[in-house]
Amino acid sequence: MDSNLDLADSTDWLNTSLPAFAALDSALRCQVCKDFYDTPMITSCSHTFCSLCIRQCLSAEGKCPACRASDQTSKLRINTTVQDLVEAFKVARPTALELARRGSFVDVDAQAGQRGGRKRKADNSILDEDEEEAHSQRRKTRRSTRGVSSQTMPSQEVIYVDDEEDGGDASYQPEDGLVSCPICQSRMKEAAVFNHVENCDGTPASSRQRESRSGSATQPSQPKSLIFSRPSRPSTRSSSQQHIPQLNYSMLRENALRKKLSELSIPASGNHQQMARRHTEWANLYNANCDSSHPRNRTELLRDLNAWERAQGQAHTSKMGGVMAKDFDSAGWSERNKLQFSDLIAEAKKKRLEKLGTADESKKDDGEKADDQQEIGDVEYKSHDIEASKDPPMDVETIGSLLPSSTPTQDGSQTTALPPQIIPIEGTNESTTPAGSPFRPSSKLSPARKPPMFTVTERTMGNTQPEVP
Amino acid sequence: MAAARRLGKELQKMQNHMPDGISVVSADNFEIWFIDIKVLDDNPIYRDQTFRLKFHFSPHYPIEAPEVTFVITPTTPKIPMHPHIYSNGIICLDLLDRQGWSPVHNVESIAMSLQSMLTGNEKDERPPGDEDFCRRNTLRPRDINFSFHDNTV
Repeated sequence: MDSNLDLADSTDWLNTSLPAFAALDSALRCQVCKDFYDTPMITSCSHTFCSLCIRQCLSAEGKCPACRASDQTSKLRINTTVQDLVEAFKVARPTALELARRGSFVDVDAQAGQRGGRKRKADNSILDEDEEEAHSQRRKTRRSTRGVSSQTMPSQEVIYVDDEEDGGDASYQPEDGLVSCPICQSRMKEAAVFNHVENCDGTPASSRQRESRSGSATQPSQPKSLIFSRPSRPSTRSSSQQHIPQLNYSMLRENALRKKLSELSIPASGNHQQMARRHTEWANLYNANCDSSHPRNRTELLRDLNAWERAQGQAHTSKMGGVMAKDFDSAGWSERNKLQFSDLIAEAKKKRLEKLGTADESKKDDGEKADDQQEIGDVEYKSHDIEASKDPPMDVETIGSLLPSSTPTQDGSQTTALPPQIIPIEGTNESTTPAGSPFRPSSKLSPARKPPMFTVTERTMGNTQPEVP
Repeated sequence: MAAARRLGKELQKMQNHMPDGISVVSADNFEIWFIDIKVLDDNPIYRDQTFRLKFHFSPHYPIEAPEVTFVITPTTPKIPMHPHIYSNGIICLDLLDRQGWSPVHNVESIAMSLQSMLTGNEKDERPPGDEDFCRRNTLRPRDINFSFHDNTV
């Protein structure tokens, strides 16, 4: 985009002689990007936005930004009328604005008062209605300019001729007392039409019939083709470039999604969520480009995708599974859990001291496990235990519901099926929790899925989130 | 970037014209802006006071809502008293939340909404649990799950 348009805004008109143009200007701008509509698309709720803007909004929220009605990208239709309006206005804007800015000075000059100045102004712009005392001389010039304009604009006359011929064709109807079939245009008696319409195959009237009439019989088809010539433009465009369909990312495995991305030859790195987001953004960019009347080439689109990716933050360095770096507030996280972390450390130290005292008893039960593992397990259990001590059954229930796949009935069978390397971890819990506790299934989870334990504790210990308002 | 372009336009518009009682204090970059608001009518709770708003824009603005909080500065020493504004400046307004936000909103409309939110207020109080929330909350405003129940604001 050129810098000229970049800075332009509807308020440019406010201090000119045409302040009403501000409303026109802002009506031709997208409400999301505040730029002139770029490939305007109309939603099913009849709001218009740039193709890319509305695609981004819908993929983020699924709602129309203006009225919050649910909508889908597949329901978007190109708004060619608005597009033509914008294109025309963009061309007219700079000169109009310049004129409007100067116009305010001209008015001042005119009010200051020289008749000559007024006349000149009247000649090239709007004529004041109240000028009753206008000289005959000026009337002459007006007439003469009118004459000139009609001579210099033969194109208008051509349009008139077309119109007349069209009208002339219509006026044939009463002459022969026949009517034309609404489907095939062949002429017949009025009574015969109804029977004919039922059997009409839509093929145009036979050439014999046409030739029998005067040469003007072929004329009516001409204006029709003129009318249809403009809408045909987008239809040929959309057929030339296929839109990228939306995917149901949750249905795709990571590898399948990676394959999809490489099929589209866009970067296929990152985890599932990163790839899903990239695919969404690429589909938005690509599909918006398909709609555009001035499509850009692939390299430019890839550059846009790259810029978008950079705006995502250090997505690639993020190691938080499932959480994009920009969404994760790491400082906040450590700050928020600071108390809990220090509690855990203190707890662990205390426990260790206790353990040193009573080491003999516990070591009989599970001698094979490592000391540090034991501590982690103990501490985690302990923190629940403090909360749960009063009413253990209920706590077991709530925690059980929070942990994925914790079905105590399956416990026995699953422990036997466990791979050997996980047994020590399970042993840790076994030593501290009673048999059949809901913690057992959770220990089967890989270490990467441990963090939920913290959220559990956080919830039981009291929520920082406000309930009201 | 799209966010910078849009913010540039908004800023230009605001420099041309601002509603009464709202003024831009600083907008040096496209990340953090400060805006002052004043309550125009004679509401005794806010009479003769100016409040400073801090806008924090993400690179995905306007698709994502900006983070808007009241801040204390030497010239604006108070966080307005309001049953939906915590004393640490965090505002509970659906407009600023993910569900309530729409890309059609802009800085000016947010400032005006907050201004009218103050104008319409008659209670000289903080939200329930304010002290506790301010002490414990370390979440960014955008991560807080507010539940919106008061439709009178």
